[in-house]
Amino acid sequence: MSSRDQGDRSGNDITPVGVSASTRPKSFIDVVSIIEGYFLAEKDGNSLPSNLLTLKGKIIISEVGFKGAAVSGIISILLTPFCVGVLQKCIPIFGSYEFTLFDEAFAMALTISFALGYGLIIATIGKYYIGNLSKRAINWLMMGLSAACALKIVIAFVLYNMLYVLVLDPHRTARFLLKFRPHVSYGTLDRIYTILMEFKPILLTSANFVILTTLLMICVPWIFIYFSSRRTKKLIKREEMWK
Amino acid sequence: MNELNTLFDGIQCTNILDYLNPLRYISHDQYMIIMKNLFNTILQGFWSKLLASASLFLAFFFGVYRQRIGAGISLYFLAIIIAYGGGLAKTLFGI
Repeated sequence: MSSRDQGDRSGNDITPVGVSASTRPKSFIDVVSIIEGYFLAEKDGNSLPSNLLTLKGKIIISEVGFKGAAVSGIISILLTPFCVGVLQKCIPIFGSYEFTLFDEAFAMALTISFALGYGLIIATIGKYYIGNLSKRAINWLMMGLSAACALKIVIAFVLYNMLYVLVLDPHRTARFLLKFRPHVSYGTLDRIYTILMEFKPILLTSANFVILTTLLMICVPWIFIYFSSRRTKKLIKREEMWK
Repeated sequence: MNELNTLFDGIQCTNILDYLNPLRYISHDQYMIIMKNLFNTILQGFWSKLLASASLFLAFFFGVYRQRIGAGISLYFLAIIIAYGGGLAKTLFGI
């Protein structure tokens, strides 16, 4: 056996780390390193046993995707009405009611950037979307993310519509505000009432706007994963040609 | 003796804290004007737009490119505060 063959064989001796309770991934970075391990082991055409990724491992990986998307979902649910309010010229941005194109674009960017940023972070694992096991791990991660996104759409839709129909009902809001009458002046209460009533229609637009940002969060990682995996495949082929 | 020491320390501390009190050097009205100007500069107009844009850009740079997620999230929240803080301060406190 030549020394080169020996070197190749030793290069393939990579033991991927399975997802067990002792190495339970807590953050996205932990999941990346696990997938990276699978990728390095499978890179040279080695096939790993499919049961290396156990049911528990799949659930743990999807849990990480779910958690990240859930945090992003909460932020997007809180910020969307503000963005729509700026676009409909009801809520001030940079302390001004004179809205420029920059202001509107910035409000939009601010709302979608968390989902976009998280999508881009997830997309960095796209280059490992090659082997059977790494593909399965990434699919499970994305499944967790998609489940959280679906839940986010439902929660946002229910929450905004509930606020519109039940909480911000004109009579109910007026009755509630009048409870503060002995402590707060009528003028202030009237101003708060007007602001709340102006804010009300924004909630309905926000419910649909959330769907748009969620689609972005699901589509961006898949697009990047597709292109970067193609690039990695090309690089691997080129490496094999030069061997 | 211990009581005397405590009293002495207390007096010293009060003096040092007095030096840190800005109202020792300027009047309350002047201080309010300075703070109002500071808030107006940071939360409204050109500088607020520049600061918020820089924060959002740095949030992407640190969060996505450098993968320092904590720094990315902090800068993202800073951008939110600068963008909407001005309107909020105006509505709530009339600044």
